[in-house]
Amino acid sequence: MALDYLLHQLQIELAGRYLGVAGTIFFLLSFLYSARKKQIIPKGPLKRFLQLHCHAGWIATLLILVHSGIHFNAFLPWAATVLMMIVTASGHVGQHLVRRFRNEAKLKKQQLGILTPPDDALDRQLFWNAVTLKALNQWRMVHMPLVAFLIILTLVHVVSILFFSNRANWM
Amino acid sequence: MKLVILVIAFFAIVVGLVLAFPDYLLNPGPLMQGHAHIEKNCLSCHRPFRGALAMQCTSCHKPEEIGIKNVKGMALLRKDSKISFHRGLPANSCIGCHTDHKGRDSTRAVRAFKHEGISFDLRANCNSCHDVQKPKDKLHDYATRSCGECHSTRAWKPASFDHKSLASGTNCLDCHKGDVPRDRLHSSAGANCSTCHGTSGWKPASFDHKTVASAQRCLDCHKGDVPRDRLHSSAGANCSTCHGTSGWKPASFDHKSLASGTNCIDCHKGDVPRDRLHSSAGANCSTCHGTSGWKPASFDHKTVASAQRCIDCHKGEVPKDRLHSSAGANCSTCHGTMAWKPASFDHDRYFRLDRDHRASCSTCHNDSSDFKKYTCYGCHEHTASNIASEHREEGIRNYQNCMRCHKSGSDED
Repeated sequence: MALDYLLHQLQIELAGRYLGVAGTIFFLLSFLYSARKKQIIPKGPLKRFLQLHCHAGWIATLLILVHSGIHFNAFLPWAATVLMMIVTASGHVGQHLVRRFRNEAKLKKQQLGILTPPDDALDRQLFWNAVTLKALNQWRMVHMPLVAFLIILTLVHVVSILFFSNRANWM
Repeated sequence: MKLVILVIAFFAIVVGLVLAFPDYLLNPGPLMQGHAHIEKNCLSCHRPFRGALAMQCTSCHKPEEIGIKNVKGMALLRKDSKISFHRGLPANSCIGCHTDHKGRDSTRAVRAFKHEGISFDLRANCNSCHDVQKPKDKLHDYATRSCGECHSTRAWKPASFDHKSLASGTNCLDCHKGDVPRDRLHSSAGANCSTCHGTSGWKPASFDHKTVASAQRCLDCHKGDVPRDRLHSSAGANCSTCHGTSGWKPASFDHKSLASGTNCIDCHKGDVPRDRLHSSAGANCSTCHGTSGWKPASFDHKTVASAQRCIDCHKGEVPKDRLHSSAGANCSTCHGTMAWKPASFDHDRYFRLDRDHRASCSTCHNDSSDFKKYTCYGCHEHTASNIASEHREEGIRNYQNCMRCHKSGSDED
């Protein structure tokens, strides 16, 4: 809110529009994690992709919040902003579950006397055996539709802006 | 599969709602009153992927009829400067000034007006648009040329004005009549403001008191400047007794002019410090202070009762260093009553504290009430029997005053 106020004071509130574009790009970046999980991206450590997913999601949320500028205008962009907040919160729940899984996996390894360095294949095996799996599966059932709804609202918002706005006023 | 169906259904619902209620879902703000009827019909002004275009505006608003007829072709009763102004603008510039979605209350252009957007001829002739705004005072009567000589295109204020452009005989009051204060000072001043004021601002102003008639009293002009304290309430109307004509401060005050029985505190009540020293002092400040200033002050310590300890008054002045922390409350052992410095204490003069004698003060001076007393028997080496036998071996019998022979702290001296 303070940043939005600053943009208005400096009379560069137009920059807020471009923050929306930048935020959307960061959201798209966060989808690289899904692409890696679905093997669309065949190589690369999953851990790094998950980190990228979390960080890009955070940055995108902040940029879009400044972009929305706490202005009570049309309903659709507001609905998209609120849903974005819910998705970000849901992401945090997921992050918490993954952390719990890691701790449980570490404990199991210790119990089994496995002291070898992290092994992706073993981690995966342990992951499917973990108690957290059930909770994580249930979480995905909520998180994924929410993400899909957010994509739809964002898409309709972007298309409506391009449909109605005059590009000359974007400068 | 379920997720895909759910997503498609959500998409269909959102698109359906957007098409049915574009005014609620997409509208960034209500249109102004005149456009309220087209609020649901976004395409009245917006062309797909091109935005709002001037040609959409001119399809209803004929530029040549602006200010003369309304959009229905009915003649307007009151014609204003909008007519000539809009005629000078290009037909495709509506969007440059006018916008919408700013609420029902907005009626005109709500975007900041950019003078750069209008033609050079129109920009040179400010009066063609702003003739109604021109004030009807004498100052503006003189201004026959472009407003831009004094005003900027951003705002009317602040405005610059070059007094040099005025004819030499111009009277200040012709333009500044409303600016003259109604106080006595100005009522007796002439019409030539420049005697005291410059042309860049009213303040600071100079005033030559020599021009004032000798019979004139200071208070005639400075009535509002007199403070309401006791000091000034007893002062007469002649401010110059204490004050100069160039400023109120510094001020001189001749205490000799006071009646002999006048109590210092009557005027200086607020000046008395609340410390112990002053709480026990009487009302006669002149016992310690002179009349030219509070400092320097004299204080006769002889007036202090003999039982009074120095620290009772000088508590806050004791330094917190090692030397003073072990010193007693009797400052007079080292200090005089005239001033703290110079202090009579030079240990080297009496006994050098060399590396064998780095002891605390109390090791040698075991009577804190009198630091002049000392003993060398405070450490193991110098026991009474040791000293006695060593000195007797040497044939020295008068060895009670150690410092008499050992000022440098060594055996040999």
